[in-house]
Amino acid sequence: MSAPTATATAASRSLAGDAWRRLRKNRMAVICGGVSVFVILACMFGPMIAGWFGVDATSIDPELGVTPPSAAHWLGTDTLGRDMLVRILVGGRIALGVAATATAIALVIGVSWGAIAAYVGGRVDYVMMRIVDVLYGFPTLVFVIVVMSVFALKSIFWLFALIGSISWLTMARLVRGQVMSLRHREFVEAARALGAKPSRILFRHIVPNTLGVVVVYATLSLPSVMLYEAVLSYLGVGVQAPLASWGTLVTEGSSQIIAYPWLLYGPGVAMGLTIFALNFFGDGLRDALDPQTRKD
Amino acid sequence: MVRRLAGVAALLWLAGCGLPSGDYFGAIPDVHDRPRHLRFCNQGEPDYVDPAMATSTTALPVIFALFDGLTLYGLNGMPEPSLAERWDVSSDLRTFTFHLRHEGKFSNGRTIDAYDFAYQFIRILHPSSASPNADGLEYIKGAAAYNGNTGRVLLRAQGGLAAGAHVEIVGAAGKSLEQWAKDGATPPDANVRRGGKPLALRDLGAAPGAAYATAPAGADVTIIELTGGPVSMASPDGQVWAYVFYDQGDGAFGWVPMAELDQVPSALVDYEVRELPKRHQIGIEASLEALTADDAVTRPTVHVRGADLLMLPELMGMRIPDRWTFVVETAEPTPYLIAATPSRPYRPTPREAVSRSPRRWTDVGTIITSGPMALEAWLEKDRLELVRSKTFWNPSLVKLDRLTVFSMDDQAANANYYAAGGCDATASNNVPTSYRPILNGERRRYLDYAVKPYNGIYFAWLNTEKLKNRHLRRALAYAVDRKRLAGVLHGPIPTAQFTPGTPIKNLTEAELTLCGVTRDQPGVALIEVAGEVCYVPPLGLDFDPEKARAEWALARQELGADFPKSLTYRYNSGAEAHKIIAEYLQQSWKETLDFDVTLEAQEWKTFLADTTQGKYDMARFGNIGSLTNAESEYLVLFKCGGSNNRGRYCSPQYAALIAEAKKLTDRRARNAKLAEAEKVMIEDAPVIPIYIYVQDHLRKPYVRDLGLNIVDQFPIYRAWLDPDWAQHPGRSTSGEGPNAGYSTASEAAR
Amino acid sequence: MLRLILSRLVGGVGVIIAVATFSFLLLHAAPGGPFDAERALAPQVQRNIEARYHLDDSLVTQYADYMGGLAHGDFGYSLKRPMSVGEIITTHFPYSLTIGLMALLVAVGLGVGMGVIAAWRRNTGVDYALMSMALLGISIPSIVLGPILVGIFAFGLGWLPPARIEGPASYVLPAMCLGLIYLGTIARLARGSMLEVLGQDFVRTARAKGLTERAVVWKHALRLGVVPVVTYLGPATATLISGSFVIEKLFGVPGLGGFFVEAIVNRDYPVLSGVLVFYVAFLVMLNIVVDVVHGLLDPRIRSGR
Repeated sequence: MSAPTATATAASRSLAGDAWRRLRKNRMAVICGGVSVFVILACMFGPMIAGWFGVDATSIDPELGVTPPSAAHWLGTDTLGRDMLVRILVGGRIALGVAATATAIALVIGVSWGAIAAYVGGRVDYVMMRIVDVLYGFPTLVFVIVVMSVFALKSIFWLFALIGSISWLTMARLVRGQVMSLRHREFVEAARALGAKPSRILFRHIVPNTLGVVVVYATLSLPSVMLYEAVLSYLGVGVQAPLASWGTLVTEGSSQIIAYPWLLYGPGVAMGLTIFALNFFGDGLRDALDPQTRKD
Repeated sequence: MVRRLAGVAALLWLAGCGLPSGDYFGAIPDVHDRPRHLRFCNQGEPDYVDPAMATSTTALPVIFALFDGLTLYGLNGMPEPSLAERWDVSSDLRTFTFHLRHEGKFSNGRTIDAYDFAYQFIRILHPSSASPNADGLEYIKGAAAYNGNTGRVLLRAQGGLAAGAHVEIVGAAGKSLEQWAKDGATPPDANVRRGGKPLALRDLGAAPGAAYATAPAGADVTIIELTGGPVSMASPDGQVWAYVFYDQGDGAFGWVPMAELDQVPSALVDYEVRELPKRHQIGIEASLEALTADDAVTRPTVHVRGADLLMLPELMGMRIPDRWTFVVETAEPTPYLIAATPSRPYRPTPREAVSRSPRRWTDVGTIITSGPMALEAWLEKDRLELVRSKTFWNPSLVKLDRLTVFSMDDQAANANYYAAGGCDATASNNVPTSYRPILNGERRRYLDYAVKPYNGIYFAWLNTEKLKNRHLRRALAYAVDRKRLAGVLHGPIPTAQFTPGTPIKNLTEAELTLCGVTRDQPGVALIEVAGEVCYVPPLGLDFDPEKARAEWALARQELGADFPKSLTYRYNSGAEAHKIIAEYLQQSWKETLDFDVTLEAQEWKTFLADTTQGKYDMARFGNIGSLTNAESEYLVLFKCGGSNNRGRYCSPQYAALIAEAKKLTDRRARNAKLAEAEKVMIEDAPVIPIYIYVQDHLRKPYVRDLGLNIVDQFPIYRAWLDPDWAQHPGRSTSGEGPNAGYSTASEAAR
Repeated sequence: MLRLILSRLVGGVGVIIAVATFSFLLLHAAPGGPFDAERALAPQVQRNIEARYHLDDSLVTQYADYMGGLAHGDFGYSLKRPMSVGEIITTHFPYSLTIGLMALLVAVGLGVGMGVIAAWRRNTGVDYALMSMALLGISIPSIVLGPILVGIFAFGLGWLPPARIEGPASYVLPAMCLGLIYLGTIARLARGSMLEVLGQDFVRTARAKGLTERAVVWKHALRLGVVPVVTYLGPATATLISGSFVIEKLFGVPGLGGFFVEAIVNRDYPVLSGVLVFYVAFLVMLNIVVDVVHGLLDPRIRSGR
C-alpha cells in the first residue's frame, strides 16, 4: 500500500517528534521561526520597555514633529513627533492578533467546510458551495457600515470576528478541491474497506494530506488580512486613533513616501519581515508535517 | 538590466523617490505646437455638467466654460457682465433688474432671452426636476412655497381673494399639511391633469406629429407652465398651451394644447389656502418695516376647489417686463445677489433639449450649450474635451481653441501626471499633503507651485444640546493652540475666528482703509466686494490656558455631578489631516484641562448622518463659501433649526442681531451688525475654529491668465499658453487681480 | 457534464438573487443617503429628490421594482451621475478586464513556472530565491508598490506613463502592480501542491519507468499540481477583472473598481448592487469553469459522486 496509508494509520505516536526533528534540520525554517518569535516578543514587551525610558505610542510632541531616524528615535518620529518604533511595536499587537484570528478561523471553518462538502458530495456539497459563492459576493464593507451604525461595535473583538468571517472562503474552496481529488485515492478506499467511520477517514486520513496547500494558503493570506484590518479601521471598527496598527501605519505611510519615507519603511519592513518569516516558517512546518517526506 | 533597475530603485528610495530637479516640479513640455490648447488636471469626475443638477466642485470649471450666464467670473473671481449688459439694484436691495444683451445664443442658434432665465428658475426650483441646487435660490420670493409644492395661483376670485392671487396651501382634503406629512402621504396635486386621448409632448407650437414623447390616455401629467403667463412665452396660435411633466422612466417634459388636458383628477378636492405674506408677493412696493409688520399678521384661510388652483412660475420672484429684461425679486435685502450671478442658477439651459431627456440631455450627441466652449467628448472618469464654441457671442474673450479636462481623482496620480508633463495645470487641492513640504520650500522651492488662502474654514462643532454648559465649551475652545498645530499641517492658516478671510497683515493699504483696520491688528478680514465692502470678523477664543482652566472650573462648579467624565470627538476617516488634528486636540485637552477625550473615526455618510441627527459630542467639520460673503456663507450656519446647524446652536440674542442686520441696506452698517452677531456666537463657543483652508495649484510657467482668487473660480477659457515663456519672465500665470497676494505664482513660499 | 453545468447555472441564479437581496437590504439599512453632503440640503429639497427617484416608496415596493428590473437585465440608473448602471458596466468593464487579464497572464505564467521550479529544487538556493521574490510581491501592498513602480518606470527610467490610459503602454504598470500580488500567491500555491504531487506513487512509477525528471515534472506531476492554483483562480479571476479600486485610483484608470467603492461611499444603491451582481455572475461562471477544469485535470474528481 501507499505511503500515506502507512503513516496515517500508523497513528501519531512519533509524528510530533519526527516533525520537530525534521523542522530543526531545516535551517531556513529555524531562522524564520526565530524571527517570528522575536517579533512577537518585541511587540508584547517592547512598548513596556520603551515606557521605562519615557517613550510611549500616543504622547505627541508637535515641536519635534516629523524627524528621520536618529539615536533618540531609531525609526524616526511621525508628523506629531511620536516615536515610530514604539508605534510599530504597539501596532504589531493588533496585526499579529488579527493574523492569528484569521488563520485560526480559516483553519477551523474553512478546512472543515471544504472537506465536508467535498467528502459528502451531492446536494450537501452543492448547497455548501453556493453559500460560499453568496458570501464571496456579500457586500462586507456595507455590512460593516450597517453593523457599526446599529451596534456601535468598537471592541477589538468585533474586528477579529469580522476579519475571520471572510477569511475562510477561499480556504474552503481550496480544501474542497484537494479533498475531491483525494477521496478516491487508494489509501482512502483502504481505510473505508477496513470499516473506518467517515469522520475518521475524513479528518485522520484525508485532511492531513491537504495540509501542504492549507499551510501555504494560511500564511499567504496574512498580508491581505493585515491590510483588510486597515480598511475596517477606516470604517471605525477596531483600533482607533491615537493607536495604530501595521495596516493603518502602512496605509498612511504610503501617502508620505515622497516627503517622509521612513514613515513607510518602518512599518512596511516590520510587516514584510514578519510575513516573510511566517511564510518560510510555514513552509518548514509543512515539510516537517508532510507524511510523505518521511520516506524521501 | 537587473542591476540597472536595482540601482535606479535604490536611488529613488534614498532620494525621496525621484523628485524632479530644477526650478519646476517636473517636465516643461514644448508647447509651440499647441499654444491654444490647455490640458487641465481636475480633481475627479464631474457628477453632471448640467447647471441644474451638478453639485460637485469638479463640475464647476466645466459648467462655467459650457454655459453663459448673466455674468461670468473674472480673473479675480468677481462677476463680469455677460448676458446681462448691465443691471440696476433697488435701494432696498430686493429688486434686481438685469438688462440682457440681444446677441446671446445657444449652440443650436436660438437666441437667449429673459424667458430662458425664467425657465432656469423653474428647472432649479420645481419639485419634479429634483435639483439639489434649489437651496441656492432660497432667497428668491416665493421660492420655498414653489419648491415645497405649496404655492398656488388662484384662478378665480373667491373668499375675498382676487383672481391671480398668490396663495399657499395649508391643508388638503380635510387634513392639514402637517397631518399629511405625519401620515407619510402626499396630498393630491391640483396641477395633475389627464388627457382623454394620448398626449403628444412636443415643442411649443409644434404639430402633434413632431412629438418626442407620448403620455398615454389617462396617464398623470403635471402642469408646470401655461403660455401667456406673466413670465411665460406667448402662445404661437392663440390657444393656451401647457408645459407638462410626464413621470415615466427618466421623465419627459413637453408642451401640449391645454384643451387636450381635459381631466382634472383633483378638481373637486377641497384645499385650504391663505394668501402669501406681502414679503413674497411679486411687484409690491413696501418699506421693510411694513413687510416685517405684515409677516406677523394672521391671514384668514379660504376653502377652494382644486380646479381653481395651479402652481405656476409667476409665484417665484421674477418678472419679465420685456423680452430683454429679467427682474429678480428677493424676500429680504440680498446684498450678495450680484455676487451670486455667475453661479449655476443664472446659467440658462435649453428647454428644447432638457424636455426631451431631463437627465441625459448633456450627452455629447444631444447637448446644447451657450458658453465660450462646446463639449466635444466626455469619457467618464478619464477626460472631457472642450473646443471653442462657434456660437458664443463674445469670441474675443476666449483664448483657448481646445481644453482637455482630465478627471483622475487621486491627488498623487494628478501631481505625477503633471510632473510628467501630461497636464499644464492642476485644480486646487490636487497636491498630496505629503508633497507639500517638498513643494513649498521646506526642502526645495518650485516656482510653479502656489499656496493661497481659500474661502473656507475648518472647525469643530460642539453639540450644544449635549455640551449645554457655555463655560465648558469655552474652556474647550481656549485650550487649543492652533498655531502649533498649523506648523504640523504645512500650509493652512491657524485661526480662532469663524468667518475666514485674508490675514490683515497681508492686506493692501486701500483694503486696510476699506476695512477700517490697522496693519498691526491680529486676525483676518474678508473683502466681500473688491474696493467696496469688507467684513471684519470678531476675534475668537484663541489659545489661553489660564482662561481655559478658569472656565473649566466654572463649568465644574455649575454642572456639579453632571460634569461629563469624558467626551468623544468624531472625524470622518480617509483624510490623514482629520486624524492628526483629532490627535492633536485630544492631547491639547489632556494637557491643558487634564480631560480625556475619545477619538472616533467614521465613514463619511455615517458621519454625516450622525452629526445631522445630533448623535455626537464634538465633530470636525469644514465650511467652504462659494461667495465671499459672511452672512450667506458662514453666519447662516447658526440659524436656529437650520439644516446645517449641526451644533444645534440656538441663541435668541444671535437671532435678534441677525434679524436686525437683515433690515439694513447700508452694507457697512449691516456688516457691523453681523459682526456683532458673530461675536455673540463665537463667545458662546458652539464651534472651535481651527484653520482657514488654503488652495494650492501647480501651473506650468507657460500658462497665462488662469485666474487665482479666494473663491477659486476662474474663467478657464481665457487662459492661454506662452510657448516662449522663458523670454517673458514678468508675465504672471494668474492674470491681473485686485486681490493682494494673488498676482504671481512664483512667490510660493508663505 | 452538461447536467452538472446546468444545475450549477440554476444555483448561480439563486446566488445572484441572494447577493442582490443582501446588497439591497444592507444598503438601505446603511446610515446616510445618496444626497447627504457636507452642506446639507434643506428638508424639502431632500424630499423632492427622494420622491423623484422613488426613494420615498416603501422598501417592499423599491425591492420589487429593483428585482423586476434585474429580471429584465435592467440594473437601473445611477443616482449620482447621468448614466445607467448598464452603461457604466459596458463602458468601464473593458479597462478592468484588460488590466485584469494582463495581470492574470503574468501571474499564472510566471507564478506556476516559479512554483514548479521551486518545488523541483526544494530547499535549495533556487527555491529560496524564487520564493523570496514571490513573497516580496505578496508582502508589498499595492498602495506602496504603485508609487514605487511609478518612481522607477515613469520618472526614473521614463519608459512608461505615470497615470491614465493613453495606449497599450499605459496598461503595463497597473497590470504589473496588480499581477505581482497574484503571482506570489500562485507561485507559492503551486510549489506547495507540486511538493505533494511529487511524493505520490504515480510519480515514483513514472520515474521508475525511466522517464526524465523534466518529463516527470512538467508532463505528469504538473497536471495534478495545478489543481489548487485552478481553484484559487476562480474567485481570484473574478476579483481581478472586476477591477481593483486601489490600482485604478493610483493610476487614474477609469475601471469598474472605482465605481464600486464610490457607490458605497455615495450610497448609490443601483450602481453598487449592479456592479456587485455583475461580479457575482462572473464568480459563479468562473467557479463552474474551475470545477469542469478540475475534472479534466484529475479524472478521479470526475468519477466521484
